[in-house]
Amino acid sequence: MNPEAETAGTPVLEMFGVDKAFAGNPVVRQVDFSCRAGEIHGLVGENGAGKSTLMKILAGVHRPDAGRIILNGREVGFRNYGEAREAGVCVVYQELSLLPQMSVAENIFMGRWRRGRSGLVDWSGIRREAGLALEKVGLGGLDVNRLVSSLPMAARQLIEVAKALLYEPRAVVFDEPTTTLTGEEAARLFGLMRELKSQGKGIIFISHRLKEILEACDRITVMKDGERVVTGPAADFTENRLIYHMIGRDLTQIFPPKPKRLPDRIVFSCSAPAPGGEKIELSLREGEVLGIGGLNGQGQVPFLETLFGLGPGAEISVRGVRRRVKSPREAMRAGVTLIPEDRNGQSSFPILSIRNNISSASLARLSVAGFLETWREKREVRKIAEALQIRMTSPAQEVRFLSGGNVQKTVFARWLLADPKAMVLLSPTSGIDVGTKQQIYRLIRELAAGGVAIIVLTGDMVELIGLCDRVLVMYGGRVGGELSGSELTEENIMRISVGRAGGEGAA
Amino acid sequence: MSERGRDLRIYLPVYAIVLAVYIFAGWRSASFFTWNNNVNLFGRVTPLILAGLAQTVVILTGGIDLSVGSMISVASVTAASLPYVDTPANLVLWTLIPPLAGLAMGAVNGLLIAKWPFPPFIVTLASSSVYLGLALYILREPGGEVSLDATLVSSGKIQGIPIPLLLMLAAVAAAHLLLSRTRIGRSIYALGGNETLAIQSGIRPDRVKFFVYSLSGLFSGLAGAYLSAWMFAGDPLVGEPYVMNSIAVAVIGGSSLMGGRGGVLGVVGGAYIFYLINNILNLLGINAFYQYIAKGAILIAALAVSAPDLLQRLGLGRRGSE
Repeated sequence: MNPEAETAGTPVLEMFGVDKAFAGNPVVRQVDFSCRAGEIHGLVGENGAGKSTLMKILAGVHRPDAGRIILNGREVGFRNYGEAREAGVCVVYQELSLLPQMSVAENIFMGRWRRGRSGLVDWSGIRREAGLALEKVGLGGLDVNRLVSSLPMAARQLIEVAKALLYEPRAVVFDEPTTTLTGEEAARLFGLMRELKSQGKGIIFISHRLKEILEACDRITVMKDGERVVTGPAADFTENRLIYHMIGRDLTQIFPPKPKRLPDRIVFSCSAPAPGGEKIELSLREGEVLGIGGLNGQGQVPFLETLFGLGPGAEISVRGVRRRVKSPREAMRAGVTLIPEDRNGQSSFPILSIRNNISSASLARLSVAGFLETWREKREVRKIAEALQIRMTSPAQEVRFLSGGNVQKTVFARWLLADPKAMVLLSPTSGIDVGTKQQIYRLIRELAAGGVAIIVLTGDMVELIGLCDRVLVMYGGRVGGELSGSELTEENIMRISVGRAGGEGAA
Repeated sequence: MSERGRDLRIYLPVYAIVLAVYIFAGWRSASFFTWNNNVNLFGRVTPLILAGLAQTVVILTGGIDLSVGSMISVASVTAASLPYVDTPANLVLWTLIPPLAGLAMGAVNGLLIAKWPFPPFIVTLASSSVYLGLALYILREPGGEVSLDATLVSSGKIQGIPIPLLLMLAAVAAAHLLLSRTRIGRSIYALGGNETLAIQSGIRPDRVKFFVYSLSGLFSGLAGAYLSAWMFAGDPLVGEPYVMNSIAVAVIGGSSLMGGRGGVLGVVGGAYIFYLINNILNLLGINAFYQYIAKGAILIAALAVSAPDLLQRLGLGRRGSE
């Protein structure tokens, strides 16, 4: 590798007219993208804007339907990540690719076992080289025999970088590397990125923290709905301008206004065992929307499911009536519904009609002595479908023929028809377009105003801050902290998410 | 597209094929269109329709009942072992006991499948063996006797209408009403459509499963009793072909083996197609082994036609794009 040969400013990497669709849904559309040698190029966009897919195409994980990729002036067509890595494109993923039960050295050399003269793995050579690789990322002195599981997240992230650098890449993609890091740790990572930049490498940096993007990057590209919206020097952007490009309008317009003052009346409270051991108690006031945040897998989903009678069940009180719920049926009888996250259509009956989908949770209410009153079913389904503006040819249409946003509306319709007094929503807007999101936010606010207790789990910071009156951030199966009003900021949520509630380090 | 439109899409091909097969049979055999032949035909198809109903209610939940055949056999030998002197009391016994025996066997299947996480395929395969043993215990070989009053069920007429026709219409109508207009009926489709979500919607899968396997037993019991009336005797092996045949009838009748889609209105057509094709092959004097091959091929063809997604994947059908 000869860094001098690469003059800063020439593109290391270019993509032209890249298209990619999954099952007929375009996720990347006609995207041009380039990264120069000695540049940190920021890539931002909402969840589902196509950033990760674009990077996966670059790294050979997905093959593009159309378009060209040029690396160092040569057109390439990677068939898998291995090929991309050998050619000089490396990705440092947010979800780490390290095996926790193996040592640092084993992880760094995973899949590239050097063999000695005997034909066996040359362990001493691997340990030595692993040590050198760690020095390059500022982890010199770390024992390469330690298990990855014993190291804090920040160190793991750097090991991941060390592993990537072993391939002497021309371009390195950092896919949300700072999500799990504190400000200090992230700053260290940025130092490393700058060093790689000074070596003439092209760095692509994906993050949801816009402040970081603005500070660390030379140029920024914004994506929205699979398309590239704008590319320009970082100096031309502000946080608000980035958000404007990301969602196509100002942030204030997408969320309905929050109530200035909430009445003191408690409409819902519960006490449920949390995965972290102790019980979580919470109560909601009339009109309140409670957000549940935190990194993935901190026990949010199991905890919220107990409110719906799954797992160990919970002690709940709906408008003053206390009871214990141990099954979804009991929860529904108590007026609690849970809208599960839509994973591959798991939250609907794809082959049943829209009408049957919507009425399926209200069969008891719609029947007399076991017989359905179909006229009543038809009337109520039509009413709610109109209220939610579900676009369909007829209520007899099968749900699998609807678009994602409309499917999600039928899911809402099902649980609304069941006349809930409290709703638990798991990632209610994941994977749907901004327009539908906006409708759903408004609906959530209207329901809350109508006295329905609303608990929303979401991994989307913008949503937590824009939609919720109060946010509980979970960490390690417990409530790490509670935020509301002016404390409700990305920094605070993140700080609690990584277990630094009081400012003192946990790791 | 309306619900009626969707039903048409499922059932129209079935009945179009029935018509085609019917016309073909009439063209090959002059006596085919006679009233007597048709009454006779009806008498023979009815047990297949009952077995098809039994299988369809289970298939709609995404399950399968491989013990339909053995339950039919047990009901048949039970019916032939009852007192056969023509008295009203004996007729009542004959009417009640075999179907109840079927119901009881189905309930055992249902209990096992509802309470334990065993796949229906394995549970009913095992119970099928148990019930076959039971049938052979009751009656080692074909025989026994059935009261003359009882045999009227298969050969009698009310106001000139054959009783099998009335029986079949009543069974299909009851099953259709159950599936389309009751809470449990909707729960059956919901369970077949997405079990996890059905639970979250407040449906109790254990109850629904217990119900459908019991109902399958009841219909099988009726089929067994009917067969004993038709043959004037019981036969411990009479049900055997009904395992595969009932699945074929359900699928040809438009129900999806994945569950959640279909219904009982196609069962009559499915049974007719299946029976008539057999009949035609016989009439044409085709060898028995070809007949087995033909039956299997028909089942596979029916699977292909009843799975629109499969056709799409093969690039043969229109994409569902409404």
